[in-house]
Amino acid sequence: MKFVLTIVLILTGLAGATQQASQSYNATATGSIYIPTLQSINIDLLHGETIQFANAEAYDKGQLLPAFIRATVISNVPYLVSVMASGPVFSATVADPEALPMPVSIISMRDNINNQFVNLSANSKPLLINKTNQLRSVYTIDANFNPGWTYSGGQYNTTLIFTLTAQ
Amino acid sequence: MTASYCLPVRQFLLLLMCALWFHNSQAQDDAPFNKVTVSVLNPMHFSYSNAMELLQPKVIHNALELAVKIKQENTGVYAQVNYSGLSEDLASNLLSLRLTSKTSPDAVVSNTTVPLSAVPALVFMQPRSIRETKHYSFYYDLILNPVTTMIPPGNYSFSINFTITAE
Repeated sequence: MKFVLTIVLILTGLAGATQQASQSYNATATGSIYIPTLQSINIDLLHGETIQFANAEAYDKGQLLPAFIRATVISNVPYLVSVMASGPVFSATVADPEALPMPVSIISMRDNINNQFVNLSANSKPLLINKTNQLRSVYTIDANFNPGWTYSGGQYNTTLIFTLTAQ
Repeated sequence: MTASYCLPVRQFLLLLMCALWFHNSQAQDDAPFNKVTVSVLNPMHFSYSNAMELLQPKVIHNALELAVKIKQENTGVYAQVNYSGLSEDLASNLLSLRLTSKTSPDAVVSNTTVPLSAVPALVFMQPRSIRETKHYSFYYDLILNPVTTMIPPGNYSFSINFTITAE
C-alpha cells in the first residue's frame, strides 16, 4: 500500500513539472487617451482680397469666381460651417456722396448642402456640412458677385465671418 | 524475508523522492521557464489640447520596459490592445510600440514599430537559451498615431497585453 502511494506521489510531482513548462505567460500595462471636442477652420482667399469689375459685362452678368475660398476644416465630431458678413452693407469709399449703400447680399456662395448659391447677410447662414467622417476636409467654395448697375463706382469693403460649430 | 526486501525498496524510493523533490524545486525556481513582465516607466496618458494635434503623432518616450526570462524554448512575444468605449474600427492601429533599445543580442525584431490592435501582433522573437536562464529587457516608446477619422470625445482607457509563447 505504501509502495503504491509513493508511486502516485512521484507521478504527481512529474506531472506538475511538465505543466509548468508548457504554459504561456501574460503581462499587462494600462493607460488612457483623453479626447475633448476639437475643431478648427482655416480660410484661404484663392483670388485675393480684391475683386475688380473691369468691364460692363462684369456688371451685366456679375462675376462668378470658382474656388473663391478654400476652407480647411478639422473636426473630430460632425459639424456645420456658417457664413455671415460683418454688417448688412459694405463700408464704401466712393466719390458720390449720395451713393446708395451696397448690401452684402450681392455676394453669394455655393453651399455643399443643396449645391445652391446662398446670398450673404449679416445673419449666419449654413454653408458646409460634413458628408463624410474624415477628420480633415478641404472645401473649395464658389462665389458670385453681382452688384448690377445700381451702385456708384468705388471701393467697397466687408468682412466675411465663417463659424464652425459641432452638431 | 519481507522486511529485508522492503528495506532497500523503501530506501530507493526515499532517494528517488528526494531527487524528484530537488528536481521539482529547481523547476519551481525556474518556473515559468519563459516569462514576460512589463514595467511602465512613464505614465501612458495622452491628451489633446487642439485640433491640429490630432494630425500629428504623440509619443511617450521610454514608456515601457518588457523583461523576459528565457530558457529552454524559442519564444515569441505578442502584444494586443483593448480599449474601453472605443469601437474597434476607430481603435485599430491607433497605438504603436516602437523599440528603442534592448539587451538581447539575438532577438529577432522584424519591425521596430508594431501597430497594436485587438489581434495579437508579434513584437519580437527570442531564441532559446540552452544552458542557463537568460534575462533580457526591451524598451519601447508608445506612439499615439495621427487620427484620420472622426473620433467621439471621451476619456478612453486601454490595456496592452503581452503574451510570451513557445514557438
